[in-house]
This record gives sequence, structure tokens and C-alpha cells, in this order.
Amino acid sequence: MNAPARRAQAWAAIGEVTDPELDQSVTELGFITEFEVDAIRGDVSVAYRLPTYWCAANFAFMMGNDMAERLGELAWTQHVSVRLLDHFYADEINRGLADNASFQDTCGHEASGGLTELRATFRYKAFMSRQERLMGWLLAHGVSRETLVAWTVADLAAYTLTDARGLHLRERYLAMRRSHTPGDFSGQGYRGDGREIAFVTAAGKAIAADDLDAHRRHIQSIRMNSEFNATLCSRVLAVRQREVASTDSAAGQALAR
Amino acid sequence: MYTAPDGEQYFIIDGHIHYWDASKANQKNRHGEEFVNCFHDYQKGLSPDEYIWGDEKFRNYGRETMLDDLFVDGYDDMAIFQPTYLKDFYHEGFNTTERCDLIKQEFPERFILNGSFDPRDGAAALDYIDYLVDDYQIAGIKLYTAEWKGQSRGWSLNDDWSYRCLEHCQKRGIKNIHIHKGPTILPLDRDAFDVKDVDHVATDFPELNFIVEHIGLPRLDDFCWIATQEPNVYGGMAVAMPFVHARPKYFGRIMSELLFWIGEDRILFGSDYAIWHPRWLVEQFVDFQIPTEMVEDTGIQLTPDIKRKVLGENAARLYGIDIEAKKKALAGDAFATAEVA
Repeated sequence: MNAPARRAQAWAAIGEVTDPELDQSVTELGFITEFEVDAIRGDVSVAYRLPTYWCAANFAFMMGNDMAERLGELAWTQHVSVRLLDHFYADEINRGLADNASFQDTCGHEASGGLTELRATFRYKAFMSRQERLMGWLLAHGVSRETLVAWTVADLAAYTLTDARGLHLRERYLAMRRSHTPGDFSGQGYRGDGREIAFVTAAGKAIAADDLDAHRRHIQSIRMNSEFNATLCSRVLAVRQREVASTDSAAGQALAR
Repeated sequence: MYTAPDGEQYFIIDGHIHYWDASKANQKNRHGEEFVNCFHDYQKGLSPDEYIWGDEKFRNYGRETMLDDLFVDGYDDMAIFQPTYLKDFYHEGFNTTERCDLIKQEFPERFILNGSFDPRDGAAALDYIDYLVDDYQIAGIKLYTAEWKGQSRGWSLNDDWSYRCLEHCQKRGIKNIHIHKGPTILPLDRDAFDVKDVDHVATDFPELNFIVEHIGLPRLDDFCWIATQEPNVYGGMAVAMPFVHARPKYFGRIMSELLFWIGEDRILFGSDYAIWHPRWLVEQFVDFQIPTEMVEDTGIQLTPDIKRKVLGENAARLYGIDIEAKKKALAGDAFATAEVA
């Protein structure tokens, strides 16, 4: 693999990491402010900045930790450095990231356990939000309720879609449907054969057509919550980016190259 | 008083305002600058362009600007001071009861003054409540559970001293407790916006009213669930209000959910001034209709009568204000004359 390919691979690896609250990629959200790759030596150095100095510390840690892990999984990486900038808890988090410490070790007395449970909560929310968006789109584009609830994963994947929005929503939902066992969001690997029901409750149960409205009402509330933070974050981020644009306009675009 | 283009009139009690000093001279450290900076970004991100201020004005806008914005340019008839101390970030505090009281003394008919306590002060917090009641006649309490204090980065309503402070408030005749849930730090492995501790205190202090600021967002479903179970839990609209401009459809969904779960009598308007200006918030809220397709789905509408409750009547009931008597009392004051001129 040549140097540009390694660079692209590293960028794609951190792009897999999502903001747990927003369920959006950290690269799409514009959080990455520094991205240096020495492809020959295998060194990758990443700095990230969140929309505000006050973003929740556990989310901030999770994103940094996940980026370091994804980069560490690449076959050619030797030394990976991930740093958080301009954040009230940056010193503690950066110390933890540098030492590859657990969240508990990083935070000492300020945390009372690991992040497993919190991660599972956010995976559950992401799963339901992605499902809600895709269901809403399909119902509005001619798929009947009876068909929708009966589909297997293979049926959903094979359904002819041409609209870019629909394709995007399906890809995102299927990515989670195929990698998690509903009812167990602990992140354990999941091996399905495509014959499972596509749209299921959090507990992994099929949904009766008559119960679809109640189910959607429930999952809509999860999406409403993330939309509040998503709006605040994206607006504040836009303000920040407008303000730095005058000083280093090319920096953001240059990162991805 | 706001008179809409269709002639409907609204008496406005702005349930959430600040009188802060975040000037460089008052900032103790970087956190002070970053705190006000975050507020300023909220203003820039969610206001119409003509309501966005420069840095210096935003950090310390002063008495005259505030009075004009609330009562002359804005339509507020009354406003409630919700102090936020932040003494670890600002030498004299960000927005203390003592500072707000200077204005309240000048215009006692126009303002309601709330105080605050910090349960981490232990027994001293009880004395401080006494001092606020005796010397400042506070009408309520505003709590900020994400406030830093020395090594501590936040506290929970369920903490032992929090309970003792709430008991003391009850004993001293304070009824209204406003709770602002910022992103807390502790414990770091938990959901930072969790509102479940409100459930416990609401059950254990049935005589107190708990007004949860920004309606529990981003945990609106938990908030609605708690408020449905606990009749003494209310929703403050601060921070949610500007979505009427920034994301109107989403705002419609928020209002539908609130009206469906907790009903029209427990929602209180608040501008969160000086982050957002009450003038455009009131104009746009009164003008706002829940989108037709949502109304068809839920049957819930936002009528002028409901808007009157949210904008003033609900707060009036909580704070014992007789709106008709208050209108007469305000009719001849400096601001009423300024509006006419």
C-alpha cells in the first residue's frame, strides 16, 4: 500500500468513529483539526476539537479512545497519537489517551465505572434513530406497513431504491442491523444470514402492523432528543468554523487530502 | 404586553433572565471566558441576524440595555431573575442574587428575584438560604447542578445536603425550585443529561414545585414521563424557545409532545436573556402554528389561550401574581410611558 493509500485508509478509519450523542461521523462533523500521517514510519497524529469547551467529558473521551483504537487496528500503524483540544477536561483525557488508559483510570475518583453500559445505551439510541428515519422514509415512499414489518434483512437489502437519501438511510440502518444483536447492544459480534426480520424492537422482536404506530411514536422521541443536541452542536460548530475560516481557510479542506 | 397583529393580547412573564458580568476584568480564568463564549455561540447560532451582539457588549451589557431590551423593545411585563453564581470562574460571580437585587430594588413591580444555594457548602448553605429569604425576600430558587466548586465538578439533587437544603426551603416558605441541568461531569460514566434525580425530589417534596429548565432536553422523553407521574413538575422553555426560529418544524414536535404529556398548565416561557432577546421570541411564538400534518396526527393545537398560559398565566399562578392588578400597577411606570413614546 503506497503512502496516499495509507493516508486515505487512516482517514477512513477515524471516519468510522461517531459522536455518540449525534450518531454522526467525527470527520463529517468537522471535529478533526489536525491529521498527520507518516506513512513510511507508520505514525499517525490526530487532533480533534468539539463544538464547545463544555461538551460532555465522557463523550469526548469515547471519541478519542475509539479513534486511537481504529487507527491501532490498521496493519501498518506503529505510533498513534490522538489529542483533544480546547476542552475543559483536555489535560486528563489527553493523559489517558497517551497512556492508553481505561476511562476509569483516566478519571480516577471522578468516574464510578467503565463505559460499557453508556456505550450500549448510545448504540441502542443510534439503532432506534436510524430505524425510525428509514421507516419514515419508506412509508412515505410507497412501502405498505404490512410489507415493511414482514421484510427480512435480505428483502430490505434487495429492495430497489434509486433515491440517494433512501439509499443512505438504508445503508446506515443495515450497518447496525447487521453488526448488533437487538436486545444486546454490548457490541458483541453478530452473525446473521439475512433471514432475520429487518425491522425489530429494541428487544429484537418483530413488530405487528397494528403496533407500528405506537412503536414509531416511541422511537421518534429518541430521535427528537438527539436532534436537539445535533442542532445546538451544528449551529455552534458553524459559528466556530465561520470564525476560524478567515484565519485558516484552507486547513479544513487540506486535512482530507 | 404584546398585542399580536390579529388583536390578541398577551401578558408576558419572562421566566428566565440573567444580569451577568462576564467582562475580562471579572473573569477569574479561562473557564470564565469559555463559559460566556459558549453562551455567545448559542446567541449567534440560533438568533436572527439583527439580534447578534459583538463580544464586548455580550460580556457585559449593563443595566440600561437590559431594561430596554426586556420592557421597551421587548414585550416583557415582568421578568424572573435566575442567578447563576459560577464563583470558580468569575471573581464577583457571573450573575448573583446580590447583583440582580440592585435592579430589582429599583423596579420592584417588574422583577421577581430568585436565589440559589450550593449543597456542597453543607450547613453554611442553610444559613445562606436564611440570608436570602431574610435580606432579599427571594421568591424562588434556581439550581445549577453542573456548577464547579474546587475539586468538585457538579452535584446531584439526591445528595444528602441537597435534601436538607430543599427541606429548609420548604420550611422557609420557598415553593418554586428551578433546576438547570447542564452537562454534569460526575459521574463521568453516566449520561450527562440524565434528569431522573428530579423524579426523586419531586416525590419526596410534594409541596415544592420543580421547574425543569429547557424542559429536560435532550432527555425530553424522560422529562415528560417524570412530569406525567409528578404533578409538581413543570417545564421551563428557556433554550427550547429559539428553535421556533431555527427549526420551526422541530419546535412544533416539541410543543406537541409537551402538550400531549404534561398539558398546557405546566409550561413556562423563558428567554434566557441575554442569550436571546424576548422581542423576537414572543413575536415568533405568538405567530407560530403547529404544522397541519402534525395536528392531523395528534389533534393538538397551539391556540391563543394556550399561548397566554405559557407566556404569562402559568408563571403568574406559581408566583402568586394577579395579572389584572399587576397591569394596573405597571400602567403608569417608566417603561409603560417609554413604550407609548
